[in-house]
Amino acid sequence: MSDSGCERIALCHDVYDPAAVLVAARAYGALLYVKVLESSSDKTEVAVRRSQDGPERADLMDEFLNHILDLSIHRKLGLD
Amino acid sequence: MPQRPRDGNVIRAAVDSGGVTLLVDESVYSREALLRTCYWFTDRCYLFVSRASSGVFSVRIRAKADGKALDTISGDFENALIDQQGRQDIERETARLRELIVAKAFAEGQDLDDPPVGDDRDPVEMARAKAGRTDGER
Repeated sequence: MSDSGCERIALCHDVYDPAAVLVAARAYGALLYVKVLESSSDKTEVAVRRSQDGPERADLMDEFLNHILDLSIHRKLGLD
Repeated sequence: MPQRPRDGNVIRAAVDSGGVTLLVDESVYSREALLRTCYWFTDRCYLFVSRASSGVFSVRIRAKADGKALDTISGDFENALIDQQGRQDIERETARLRELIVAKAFAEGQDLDDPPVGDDRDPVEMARAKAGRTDGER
């Protein structure tokens, strides 16, 4: 994490679905600023920053990552 | 820097600030088994999965504030991974048998145009019947 409170996270496409990243970013729009920095065939890199006071920071980021993981697994394994 | 798991040491756990990192060798545990295991655990802990190196996934586990202890969760996760991989292996090994059972079930209802492949009769019963006939002929 940088001094500005912005965290860069690389999400490999073996596990994380690029579309799931965008869906999760929209879902957390009120709590987190999410910017896609780079998207290649094998990974998506995002910058995430907290947008307002809310739950403890580490948990919020972890909740966000869990949500992306859940959505990605749903899509990849066809659990819907 | 995570290291590749050695032979005989499939998952190596490293504990750092508030989390445990497991290295999962893809030659032993499939990606699907790992993803299904993660899916089971996202309500119990925080997970982040990345590629440690080619053929090795890194799974970082952090306990939730209201959840179980980290040691317990990571142990449960490892067991669940073995369980999930076992399910997949068994499913693959018994796929043909399941196909035969389904084919036989439909064939008995005469819903199939083609007869099921192979012989679904019990070889032990057939041997007994044959032996019985031979005994009766004596």
